[in-house]
Amino acid sequence: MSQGTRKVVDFPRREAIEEEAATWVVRRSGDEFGPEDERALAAWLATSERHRDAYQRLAAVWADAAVLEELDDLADAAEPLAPERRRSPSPGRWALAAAASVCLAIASVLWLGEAELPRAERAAAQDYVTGVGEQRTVVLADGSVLRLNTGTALSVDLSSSLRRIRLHQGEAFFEVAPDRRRPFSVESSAGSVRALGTAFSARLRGREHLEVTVEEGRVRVDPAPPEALPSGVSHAPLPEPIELSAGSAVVFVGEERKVEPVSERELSRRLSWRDGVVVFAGEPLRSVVEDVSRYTELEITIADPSIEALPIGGYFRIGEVEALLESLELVFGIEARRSDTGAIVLARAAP
Amino acid sequence: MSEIFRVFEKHRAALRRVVRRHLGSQGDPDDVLQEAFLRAYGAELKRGVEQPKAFLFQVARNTALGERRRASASPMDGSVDPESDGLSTHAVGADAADVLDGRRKLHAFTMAVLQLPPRCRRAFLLRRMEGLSYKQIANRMGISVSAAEKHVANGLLRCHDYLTERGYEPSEFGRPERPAPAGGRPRSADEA
Repeated sequence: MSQGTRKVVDFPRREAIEEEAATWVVRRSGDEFGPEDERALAAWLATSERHRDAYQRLAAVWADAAVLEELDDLADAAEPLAPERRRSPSPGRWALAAAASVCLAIASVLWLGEAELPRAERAAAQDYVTGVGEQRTVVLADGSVLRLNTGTALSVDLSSSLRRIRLHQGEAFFEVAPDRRRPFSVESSAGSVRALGTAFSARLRGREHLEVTVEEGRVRVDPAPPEALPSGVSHAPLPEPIELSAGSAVVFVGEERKVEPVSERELSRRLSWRDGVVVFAGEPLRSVVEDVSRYTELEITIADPSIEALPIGGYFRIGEVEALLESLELVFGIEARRSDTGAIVLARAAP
Repeated sequence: MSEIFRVFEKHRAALRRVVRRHLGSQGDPDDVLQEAFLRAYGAELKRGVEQPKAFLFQVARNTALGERRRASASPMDGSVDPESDGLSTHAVGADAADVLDGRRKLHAFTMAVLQLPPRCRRAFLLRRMEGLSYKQIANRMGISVSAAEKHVANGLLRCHDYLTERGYEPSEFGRPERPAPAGGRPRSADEA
């Protein structure tokens, strides 16, 4: 009698039972596990204690593995902090002008340099720049986080007694690390903002129009500070500074200012650029065009005055201008044509 | 193998230093490091990550800063407007402990999944992370439905072995029920 003929099926391998158990657990979780399958499983479980034990252990691991769903949410937690993704070229992405590309290269070097050499201190008065359509996250040595939106230039001056940001153009969001001994201020040609332990955004439009939106904590907003004015220029007494708390915004236009409360929804709409999207909730087409134009080198014009005030809702993923134009056409009946000069011209689509 | 995982293993000490520095005296650097890894790995699975090293350092730093900001935003600080409810959503105490337990569990499973062969891992994650049906997985991967089931079953078995070798005890031991429907959050079910 040779070994080859000996029957070993009486004592199935432990691994075989486990393999079968895993298959049952996995199949049972699917949509197509019917009543016959249930009966077949019951018969299989009735085979032995070891079958039932294997099944129970694997079913428990399978149930616990549902925790992996959270990886999906965690990926979103990393998203606003992943600017390199937006750096990748994608179809339909605008061509960057040569000048913007240079700025971009500089910004990339700064950003990567910081990522690879996480030094606690960096030189004073550091410049940060984003090109059109670019966004950057910068972490300062004090732990504050700056998120630069498209077309933004600012410089950072950190010393032992102050933290001063100069916003030259564009928009940025500031998460200020608490440090009572070193006030944190953002200065611009249109006014300055003093943070009182907080998170807020500042957007400079042109030279004289400053918009400040507060997400957390409080800030103090001053109209154009003396440093921002050419020396020797005298001016009328400045209006009093304003203190803003979370969920409010102020707009400075020259010497005029408008403080407004901002609903939670409006707040997240205004700050949605940090997640790489621009959200519209019924804004007129002309401001949608103005807003989207910040993110692209493409020139977009409205040929037909009758559609300028058309309310637009929806969201625009930064970089996907073509998709936006497509939905304008599909949803709002607005046709986007390309002019001889390459500009995008919007008009009512022919019926 | 995951690039993020490779970078994480290689630069773990440097990452830990970054986390410690940005965390200040708040929180446990190892918990924060683990959280940062999971975020970065989630991002890698979901959409791919370019420059994994720079990305991982950035995520680690930001996770630490977020934790520090959250931890230091207690009313004692005085810098937070008590009227603002912006920070009150970050629960502390018992909930935080639960979250931490959940994170450890997630970390254990993530490590287990990382050991799987690539196609097996893909099928397993499509099923268990994204909740696709076997038919959808089969389509996605260009294989038959039974091959998809086989990959997932093999993944389950290997995860089980990996976790058992490390002394992991399933929390729902002895509960051979159907798992929560896709999209459900078993954690919140426990808390309810």
